[in-house]
Amino acid sequence: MSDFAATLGGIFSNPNFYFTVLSTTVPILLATLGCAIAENAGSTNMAEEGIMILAAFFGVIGAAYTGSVWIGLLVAVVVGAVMGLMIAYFALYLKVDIILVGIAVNLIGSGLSAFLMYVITGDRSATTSLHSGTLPTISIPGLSDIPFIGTIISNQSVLAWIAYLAIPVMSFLLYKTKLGLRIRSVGENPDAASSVGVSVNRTKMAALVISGILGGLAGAYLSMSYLPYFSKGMSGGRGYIALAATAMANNTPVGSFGTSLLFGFFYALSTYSSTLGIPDQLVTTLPYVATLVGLVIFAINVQRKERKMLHESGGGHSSKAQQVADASEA
Amino acid sequence: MSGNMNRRQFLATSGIALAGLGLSACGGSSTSGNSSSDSGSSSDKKRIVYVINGTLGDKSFFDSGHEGMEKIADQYGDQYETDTREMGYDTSVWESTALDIASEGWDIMIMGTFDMVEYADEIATQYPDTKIWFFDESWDFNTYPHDNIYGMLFAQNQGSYLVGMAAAYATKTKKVAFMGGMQNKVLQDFFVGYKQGVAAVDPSVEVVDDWTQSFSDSTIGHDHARALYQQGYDIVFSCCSSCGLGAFDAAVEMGDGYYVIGVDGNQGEYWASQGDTAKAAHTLTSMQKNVNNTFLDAAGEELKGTLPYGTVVTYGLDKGGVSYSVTDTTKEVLTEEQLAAIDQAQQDIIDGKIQVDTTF
Repeated sequence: MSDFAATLGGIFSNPNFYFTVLSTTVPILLATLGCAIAENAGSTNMAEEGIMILAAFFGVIGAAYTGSVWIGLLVAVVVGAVMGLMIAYFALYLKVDIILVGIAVNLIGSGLSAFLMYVITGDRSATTSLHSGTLPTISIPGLSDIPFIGTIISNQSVLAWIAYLAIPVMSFLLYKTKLGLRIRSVGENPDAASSVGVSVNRTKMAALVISGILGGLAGAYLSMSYLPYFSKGMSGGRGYIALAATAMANNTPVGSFGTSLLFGFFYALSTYSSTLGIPDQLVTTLPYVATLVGLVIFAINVQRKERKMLHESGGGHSSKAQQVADASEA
Repeated sequence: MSGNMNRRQFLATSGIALAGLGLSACGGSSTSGNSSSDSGSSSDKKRIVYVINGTLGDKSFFDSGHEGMEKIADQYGDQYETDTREMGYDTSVWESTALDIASEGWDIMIMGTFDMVEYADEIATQYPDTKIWFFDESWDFNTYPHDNIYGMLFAQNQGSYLVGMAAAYATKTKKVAFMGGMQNKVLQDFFVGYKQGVAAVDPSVEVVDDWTQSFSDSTIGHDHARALYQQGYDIVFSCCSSCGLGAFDAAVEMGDGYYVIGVDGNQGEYWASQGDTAKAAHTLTSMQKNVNNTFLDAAGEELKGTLPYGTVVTYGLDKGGVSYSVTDTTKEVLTEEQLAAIDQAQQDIIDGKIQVDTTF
């Protein structure tokens, strides 16, 4: 047991571990932010998984055939945006259930990317023959000299920086801009929003396109930073994890950061698990156990809030003592 | 208006659902090789199919088997008609797909790995006229007595012993790792051989086993290998099919002094042939499972009528079933004496002077 503690201590004092935590969090974070903004507008975007894998694939193809990873990134983003637009068109204008659209996009994503990979490159499992390259990494001179922190944050991909910067940007967008206010009001109460002249469909569409772009960035990260090629099924369920992370985060950008970091942490830990002498299966289930626990806590919180609101609006004279009693009950 | 809307909705929903299903099916089973549809009519060629529970393109195990099928077609094209079928990585379709293929009435079906044992048992029972060559798992004839099954096993422990020696010679940190897909008997067999080979050179070298729980996701292989390198294990023996490809990227990222030992195919040579010199330079050697040669051998014996159905034959170093590869990188990292020592060990294993541990 002390052996175990020593190894665990060794992992936790290794800056490279935190580097891995941050880098594995990136695609989950981007997808989670994508789910969150759609959710804020009242549309559940289930399709991040499919968007991610298609963007990862087309990004690599774009990069390989133009010889520029930046164009590859652009292609991935455009693919993400187009997918978001497509989902919006089907769900908002053709009135197809958005969950069904999401499932269809995910199925198309995994099948089409594998199929086109074979047709275009002749590869069946990974496009290693394309040499599509990777996006540059960033190390800021001053920062990378700081002993522990330097190792963690330097040499992270440019997309990792974009992902972490996306958190404040998205907070600003949602809570400080007109579009953000519209998105939230459409999600909260579409009828009220449309009564004051906000176009519900157009606002939801904007949210879904942003959601698609974030999914596209996540895909680009997978195939142009994480690995320098597209590999079949490389989205690896991250789009679904993002759905859970969004729910746990109550659809807020900062919360999304916290929950995706949690998944990133446990995923990174699972890759280090062999030296801990505990079964890898156990560690890989931890994020999901954490999700369950998180969702329970979240549900309890919501219940408590609702009860409080009921008290306030119903009785109007709920005493401080009563509230404390409620809280301890929950 | 509303009726029209409903029809539009219906069409749109069913349209995308169908598109989704159709395309995802493309990822499932597909056909390649030289099959002909009018077969079985009057031709007396033996019809032989290689059923893959995965996809081609892993640059190792399954690809090597496919190469074997091509060799059979080349060498015995007048007597065999060959085909290769991929069933994909969705385990839920393996049973039905395998039974579907079996119902086409093949003379010989080649399939393997521990996942497929029960399905092969089912086929062998339902189609007594179809012969099955079952590879990469010791067929248990006591539990599943079939006289139409021929078991082919690879002595991966022997080959792993040799690359374990190479790892022990090459490590600077005195820590080496094994990265396997899943803890089944075959992969354990790799590990025990590897461990013993390392210890034979230097018992003070630490060997760790790491299990990725994936054979397909390269990102997982990349992350696990990177974690191992970061913890000071400078040699990783990567044994998990497509998942293991990620280990090469991790080694390249880590830079000088970090190596991968490839598996099943000669992966160093493969990277070099792709012009990927960086990866080739990080591939110390490969433990080759020569699935191709064993298929070809079996095909030859089958024609002579000497293939011993009802038994399991182990293809070891002696029969060329396994081997270790020597590339430019191998020669750069290891000295001539060290390579000679590995060759000597190979001879000793063949002669029975060295007994390699096994899980079988």
